[in-house]
Amino acid sequence: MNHSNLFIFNSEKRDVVKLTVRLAWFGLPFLLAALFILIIDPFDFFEAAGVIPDEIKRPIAMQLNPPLWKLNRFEKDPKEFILLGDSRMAPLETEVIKEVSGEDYANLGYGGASVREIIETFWIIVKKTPPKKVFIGVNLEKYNDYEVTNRVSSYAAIHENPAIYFVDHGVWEAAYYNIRGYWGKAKFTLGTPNMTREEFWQEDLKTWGLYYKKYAEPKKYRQDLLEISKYCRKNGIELKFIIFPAHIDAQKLITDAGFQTQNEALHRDLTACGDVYDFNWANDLTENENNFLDPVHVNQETRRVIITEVWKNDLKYGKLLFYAPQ
Amino acid sequence: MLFNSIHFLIFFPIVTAVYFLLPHRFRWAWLLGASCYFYMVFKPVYVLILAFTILIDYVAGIWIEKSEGEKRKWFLVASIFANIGVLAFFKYYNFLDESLQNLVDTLGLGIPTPPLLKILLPIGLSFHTFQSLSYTIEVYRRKTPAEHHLGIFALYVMFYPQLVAGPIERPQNVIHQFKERHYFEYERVKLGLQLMMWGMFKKVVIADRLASFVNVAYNDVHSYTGISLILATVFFAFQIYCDFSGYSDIALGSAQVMGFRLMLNFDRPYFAKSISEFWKRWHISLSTWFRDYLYISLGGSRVSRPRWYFNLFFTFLISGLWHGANWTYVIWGALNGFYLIAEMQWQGVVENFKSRAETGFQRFALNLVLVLFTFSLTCFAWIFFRANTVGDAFYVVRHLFDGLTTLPADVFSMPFVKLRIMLGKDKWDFILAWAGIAFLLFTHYLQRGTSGRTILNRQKIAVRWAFYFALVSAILFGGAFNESQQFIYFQF
Repeated sequence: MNHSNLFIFNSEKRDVVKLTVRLAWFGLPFLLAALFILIIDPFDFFEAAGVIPDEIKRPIAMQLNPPLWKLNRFEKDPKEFILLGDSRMAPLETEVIKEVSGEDYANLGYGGASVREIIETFWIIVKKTPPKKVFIGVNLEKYNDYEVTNRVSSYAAIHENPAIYFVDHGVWEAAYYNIRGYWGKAKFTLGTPNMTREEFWQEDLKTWGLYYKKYAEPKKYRQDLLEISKYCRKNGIELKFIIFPAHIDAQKLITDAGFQTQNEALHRDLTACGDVYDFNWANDLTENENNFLDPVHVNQETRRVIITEVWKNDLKYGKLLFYAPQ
Repeated sequence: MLFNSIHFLIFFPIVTAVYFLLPHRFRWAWLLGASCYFYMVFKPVYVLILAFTILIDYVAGIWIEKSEGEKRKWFLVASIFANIGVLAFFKYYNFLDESLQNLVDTLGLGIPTPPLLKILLPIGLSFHTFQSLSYTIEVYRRKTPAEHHLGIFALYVMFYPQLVAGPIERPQNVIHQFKERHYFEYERVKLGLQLMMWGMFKKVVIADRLASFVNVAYNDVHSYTGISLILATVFFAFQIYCDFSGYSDIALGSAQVMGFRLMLNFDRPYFAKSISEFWKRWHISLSTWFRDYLYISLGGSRVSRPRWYFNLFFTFLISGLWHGANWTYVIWGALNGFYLIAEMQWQGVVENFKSRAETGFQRFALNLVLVLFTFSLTCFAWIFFRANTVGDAFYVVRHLFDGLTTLPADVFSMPFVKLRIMLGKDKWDFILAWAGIAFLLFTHYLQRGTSGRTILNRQKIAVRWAFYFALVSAILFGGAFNESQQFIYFQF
């Protein structure tokens, strides 16, 4: 063997070159894939390139992985007033709340959120900045150990190790829709159901009724919420809950399923953690279909009513159940 | 440092590149420095414990070699005492203290016991202690000369690929390799990288995905019964195999890239047709360590039958204790010892069946039954290995078959399937978990007569590259990066 410089032999040098070239070719597609994600950046994680405009990115991100979008924003612009919950909390307008109360909220409500996601989000935000006030929206269907969806874990993993962003399925899916939206100008929208409002209403009621067929006693969630409550008391954080109104038809699903006991347990468990604003009872608001988009989601006017009642403490349709530690 | 981390992705090419660029006489020092760094990433101060055992065994080795008669024995005893002493203090002190406290409480003696200590188990302590011990024992048995170069000896104990989770090497297999000059050879490096890639696949695609199911059930066993516990246990069997053999593959592969040959640690253990065969295929470096240094020292099989049984049982009991300071591991070890003794009783029956199997199909069916039976016994033992407490383990055993009679009807209920079979996880995770197991078993089946790498390297370059792309893509896009990333055996 002939000696080359750097203490390696010429034959070795040839092998080194061969391996380096092959590894480079092998790695090239993966490198290009990473570059693609970096350029599209569907969740604005790196904010490296502004190729795709926000109006395309935002609806896609909010549909596919709202925790990743919202927590990433929160990370860059943390707030001391927090809203946590599911699709009933998500559309509450923070500007309106600010007008009413003067408090600047971050709305970390996610469509389809489970209580698991709410709990994990809470622990992420307190690590970032200690909040002053936290509102959590919880209804019976989701206060259910069966509901274990957890998209927040993907945010946590990506935050811990940004390399995961390049291989996350949701990021790739969002990147695909971003490209379609940008070049194909295809709008990313939820399909409009091909049925009348009444048919959709009945169909939706069936879907919500399924929650009571897939119900597991929320032992874990109860413990986790108590832990949050304890933490809030210790750290001077105001913790409040909102039980959002559902139309009387959806409320009837609870009695039809024989879940009155579980519903009482929900109220008991939440008041054991903090004050509760309960809008989910039979009254003028919940008996009028016009106040709702579907059996469980209120329209914009009703959202304003809720905001006024909660943040102005001007209760008409809401009942305030006081904190009652057990 | 974890093999499945970005840190290692940077560490490995740098260490390897510099290793080959350095003159041979400096390479050991570079590897030793890199190994120290690798270990100190976990908790820097514990490198001092390693330094202590290295110094003790280095001196003991030289003194054992120089001395004769009783003196040799005493130096060996001193080395064993020092090594086991460190292990006992860090790993077993609190366990023994708690057990003593429980005993005192049960008997109502009211005697104060020593206080528990707030000590953290140094990572991989059991592994490098045993590796170091094998050196002094081999020197004592005159099977290997004492190593006079402290740096080389330190490297033998600390060589980073196998430092924290083995394979537990023997000095005669490794020490001489540190003195040989290794050349950069494309073919060898390629083989090493292939093995690393396969190990990484097993760890992040199969083991880490299965871990998420196993943890749900085993961290809250009282919420589950029947099929959920059976599935979690079967998943754990594959999780621990892929986790540990994946680690071993990365260790062997990264050593091979630099030109080192480490011993094989796993040989498709779930294809074993008996428990004794399983232990020849599972964690081979530890099994042979216990065989060579404990079982044979106790007399092995060249003693009366009751003593032989005792030797077997005791060896497995200690093997269980080696794994962890918890009664669950002791029971796991005892159970395996019991299996082996029981197997000796039914061996005649099995042989009888084997001799009667005439057609290929009959032999296949018999082998399949034996493989499944062995796997079932192994899974039953894994319950004790995985359970957090003995109480949890016995709960699992008691409720393992609950609700199986109503299972055919239950599988039509979505909540049952989601909560009890998929353990609340996403259906794609569940499908990928099974797909991973199926792929693993398929590749193992292909490797009946020859290694997977031999089969792969016989293929055309296009096939090989397609396989590499598929494997790396599966690792990157199918890896369960949100789940547990620590290797199970690091805790030992």
